[in-house]
Amino acid sequence: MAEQQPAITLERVCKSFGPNHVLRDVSLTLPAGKILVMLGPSGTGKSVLLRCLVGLMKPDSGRIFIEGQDITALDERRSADREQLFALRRKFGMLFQDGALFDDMCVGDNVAFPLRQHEKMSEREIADRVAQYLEAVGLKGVQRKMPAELSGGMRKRVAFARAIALRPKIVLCDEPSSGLDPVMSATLDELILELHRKFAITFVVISHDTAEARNIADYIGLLYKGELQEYGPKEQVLRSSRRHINQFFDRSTDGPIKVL
Amino acid sequence: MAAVICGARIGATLAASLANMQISEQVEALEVMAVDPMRLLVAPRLWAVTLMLPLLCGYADVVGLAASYYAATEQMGVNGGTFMEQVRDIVHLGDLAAGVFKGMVFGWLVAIVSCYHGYRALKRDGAEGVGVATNRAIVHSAVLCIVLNMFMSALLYVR
Repeated sequence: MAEQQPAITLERVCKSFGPNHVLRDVSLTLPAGKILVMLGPSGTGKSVLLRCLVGLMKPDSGRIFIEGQDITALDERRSADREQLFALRRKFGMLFQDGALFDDMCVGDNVAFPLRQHEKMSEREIADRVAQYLEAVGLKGVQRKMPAELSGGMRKRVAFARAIALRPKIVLCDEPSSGLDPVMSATLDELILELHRKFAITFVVISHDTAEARNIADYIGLLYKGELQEYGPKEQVLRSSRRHINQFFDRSTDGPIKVL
Repeated sequence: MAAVICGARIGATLAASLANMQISEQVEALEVMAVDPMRLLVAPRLWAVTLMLPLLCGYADVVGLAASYYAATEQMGVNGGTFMEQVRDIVHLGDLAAGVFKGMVFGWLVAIVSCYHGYRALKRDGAEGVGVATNRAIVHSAVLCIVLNMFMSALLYVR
């Protein structure tokens, strides 16, 4: 049987903003259908990495392959490339840190938005799908509410329902547990695991939360000062003797990771 | 004048809404969903303002004429019939057409300038970025409308 294409491959990816080197020679391979939790202190390039993965930012050098296709070779300004880039992006769902819900649309329309844009479904089918996903995130019957009426946790869950509405192959989550209470974080983790089990979705989760990494990760990475200090299957990383990873998991101030 | 007043108001709304979408990552969310933000957010606003501002200019013409009629007849004692006769002598269809045409051009200009400033706002600018984008949209739209009006009036009316 042919070996399955990795979901994501990064080859020596570098990204700088002026003198600030945000990503330095980051290389990794994530097999399809796995959950990667990328850990690291604030300001170490985790969100930039996520944006590079989906083509919102272009690395200065290095290449990023999504299911074998080089997303860094596509230039958004060229119309032919733009079509390909959009086709590639349809493989993604993304949960933004603050949800990024459309303010002028109700919850139901927010979740229905990608379906209306990309699927040939009747309004009835869309309404059913929206109800199904909102129920899955524990928000039954909130379709008519506006985003401004929701709490932070609810907004995040609605955004999660929107991110998975098209049943993407890869879901990127930018700090899904930040600002949530522990119970809500655990609920979101359960949801990620359930979707992963049900649809074999590949997840890339950006987080500070080591408990989250222990609970849901198949692979763990640790970014610090733009460099990938550690990366591999969870068991291997948790057994690592590298001081960066030990300091992070021990929540210690003593070690190579300094407060920026 | 109607274009400048309405343009500033419309431009402020356009710039603020787009800038707010930028700083709250809504525009990026659209891009990740493989939806072209230019087509979804900018193009309809451009068409809407370009097509509606001439109607607003026409409406302003009617209100201006009614106000003049009231001032002339009630305050200055001019006979209503004489006023309308004077209006018919002085105002030609070409003047109204020029007003509508200018409204269309100003609408397009206001929409382009406002969408540009709103779209250029960055997440890191935060709420202040929305204010700056709105301010720039109002000032630039108004100044450009006034300057362009000078050239257009010269072209349309100087014979």
